Amino acid sequence: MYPSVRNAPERTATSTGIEPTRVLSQNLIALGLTSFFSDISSEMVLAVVPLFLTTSLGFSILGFGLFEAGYQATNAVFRIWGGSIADHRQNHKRTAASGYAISAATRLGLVASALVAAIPAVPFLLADRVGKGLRTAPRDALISLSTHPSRLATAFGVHRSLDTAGALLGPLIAFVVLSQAPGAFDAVFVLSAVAAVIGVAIIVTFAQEKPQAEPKRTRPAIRDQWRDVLAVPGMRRLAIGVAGLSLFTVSDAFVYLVIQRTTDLSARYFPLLFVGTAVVYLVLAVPVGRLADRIGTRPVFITGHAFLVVVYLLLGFSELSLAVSLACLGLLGAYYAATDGVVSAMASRLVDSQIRASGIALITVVIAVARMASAGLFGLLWQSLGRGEALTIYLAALLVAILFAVRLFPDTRAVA
Amino acid sequence: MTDLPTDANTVTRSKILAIVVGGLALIGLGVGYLVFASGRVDEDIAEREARAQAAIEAFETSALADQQAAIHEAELGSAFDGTDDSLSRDLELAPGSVLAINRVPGDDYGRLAVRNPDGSRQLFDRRCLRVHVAANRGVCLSQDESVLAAAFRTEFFSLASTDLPEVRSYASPLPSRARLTPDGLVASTTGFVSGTSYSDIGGETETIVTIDKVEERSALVGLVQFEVLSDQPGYDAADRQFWGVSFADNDAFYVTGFFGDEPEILTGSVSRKTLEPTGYIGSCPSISPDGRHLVFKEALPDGSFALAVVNIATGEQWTLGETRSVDDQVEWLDDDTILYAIHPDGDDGGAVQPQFDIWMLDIAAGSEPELFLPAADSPAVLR
Repeated sequence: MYPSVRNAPERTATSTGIEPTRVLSQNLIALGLTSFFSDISSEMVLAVVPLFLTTSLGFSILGFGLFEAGYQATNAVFRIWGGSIADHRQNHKRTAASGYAISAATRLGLVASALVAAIPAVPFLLADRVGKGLRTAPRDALISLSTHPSRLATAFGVHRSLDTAGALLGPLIAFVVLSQAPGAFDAVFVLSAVAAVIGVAIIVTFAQEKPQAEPKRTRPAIRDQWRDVLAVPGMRRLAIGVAGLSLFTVSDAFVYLVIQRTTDLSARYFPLLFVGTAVVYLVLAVPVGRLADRIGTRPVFITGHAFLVVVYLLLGFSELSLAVSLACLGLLGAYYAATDGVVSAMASRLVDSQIRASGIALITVVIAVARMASAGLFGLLWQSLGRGEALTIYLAALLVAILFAVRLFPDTRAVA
Repeated sequence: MTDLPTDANTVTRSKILAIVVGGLALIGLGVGYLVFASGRVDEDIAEREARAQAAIEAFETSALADQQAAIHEAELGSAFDGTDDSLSRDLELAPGSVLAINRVPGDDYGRLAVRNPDGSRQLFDRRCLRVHVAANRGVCLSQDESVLAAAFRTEFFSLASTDLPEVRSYASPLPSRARLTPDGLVASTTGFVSGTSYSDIGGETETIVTIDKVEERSALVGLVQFEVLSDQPGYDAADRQFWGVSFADNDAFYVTGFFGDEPEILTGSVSRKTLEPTGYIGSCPSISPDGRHLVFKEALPDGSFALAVVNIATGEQWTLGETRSVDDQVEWLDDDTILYAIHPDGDDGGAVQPQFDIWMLDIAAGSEPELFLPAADSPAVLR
């Protein structure tokens, strides 16, 4: 049904007429800014939902793992759906914009629930995850369709750094709001709604659909779409490889907890762990993306996981001094820079443009589900065996998964 | 992509202009709302501060306060000179001193206070949500205001000097109860891991009780690890919960346990790590300094709480003369008198700086509560 995948990058490059020298397409800038504003919006909300921090500082490690699992499950289900319908209708922009709009609408619900005690906040928090799930894959697909295949990792790096900048600013704004008006959660939600609406306005106004090839008379059924995704050469190997790696990736929240507990870090500085990692990610996302475009996404992605191995070694087998803790945060940030955007570039290069959103959705959901399982498993191991033993097991397993992935990953070097 | 029409640049430029102007207008609206909300919060606090100050003034000038001062001076001997002006008097913590948390809305809200015998108060710099003191040590459950979301700490401090220097501290969940052993060496705190109310125990609410040595790092033990010694089934329930420890001596304590039915009171031993049911149905126990009376909360059908007292030796139990709902672990002023905090009329505790008054009540049947310290919370009597 689709042209041979090995030809796909070249075809995309020539047929869309995208210049290889130009990374900053209108779509990339628009989607990056939309993510920037919508991340400000959602992180403002997350920062003030005390559950998140009290849970992360709570005592039940297993319970914390389960919570994270449930949170990611909603996201995963709707991510698959978003990818499916965007490919099916070939309307990536519209699907992504709908996802952003749903999340923006939930902010108004939160304002209402802050003002009227009878209106519960939880449904709106869940609906926000629905919106986030819907938009992720079509947005990444649209970025990839707007970028020359030889610059994909760079483009995703640009997007992820804008996204992370928003995630850093959000809690800061929430903090300023609550210090100006203690207890006025409605004000936090109003400003969060403002950021979300700006994000929606940007994507609606500036992003453009990228319809692929000739319009089809008969659209493939969604089921056929998925059959094609799974039939893409290298797709299953990529999926199994990232699943193995992600299954032994300790959630960063656990990493923060280990650092906080072993160094007896004051709660005052706990959020700084997140900030430190995010700043490194923000700074490295673009240069690491460029590197991946030059030397290949596979070595960069694998090296990212090697950083994680070093983090486990430091966490499990060293005196966690301040310097070592900082090194852990730096490596964690580098791990994100080398994996998060890069894996979307890998999937994009593998999958034909007609089914790209589904392909990206599949790979990112495999990662999300494996991480979910990882969080539960690591929580169990930590509680039953202890921290050191749990880290040792994960360390050994991740090394095996890396060796496995090296052999398994398809070659996704761009055809320049 | 085909070439754009010639006027595409101006179209895009006007779109950018529209987004920037629209975005700035929205941000302006948002900031305007923030200013409005900030003014609303300030106004509310100022209004309640004025009310609290008026209540304090009325209290301090009342004959009741004078009478209490006389009683306390007699008890305290020469530790305080009641003729001194309260503001110039040196802060001095001595056995009999009553510490509390200042609940006058405004800048001093949350500061630790000591109640002068005449009913006035002096404030320390330390801020707490919950406090308890014993011997020369104090435990303060505090909120870290400098971080983004709710982050709480358990802080141990010394009473040796009036700056109340910190001994040790660590991050902890949303604080609820705090008690020290009489020697000040062991502390027990209750925190909400999830939920915020005891009325929802067994539902959303999950509590954690830790017992900790004040001076030693990493000496924490969770009460769920204690073994319940009982022939009755059900005490090993996986979802059992504990809260509100009250130390009878430096090892024995009373605590609330919930095993799926209704909260009941257990007694335990720190050194043996064991618990035993007492048979009393209720929560938040508090044992008198002489160990003869146990006061606890009794749940009423409407969801409110009455205070009950039991004579440990005879088993005789009666309800105290407080008709308002008391959701507090009471503190003992002396062997016959309890102190506890309740919200004043018209304050449901939902405000940004919720209000409390501390009341005093004789445990003899038929006694009536008297105001002990308005706009204050978490009484802690130094022995």
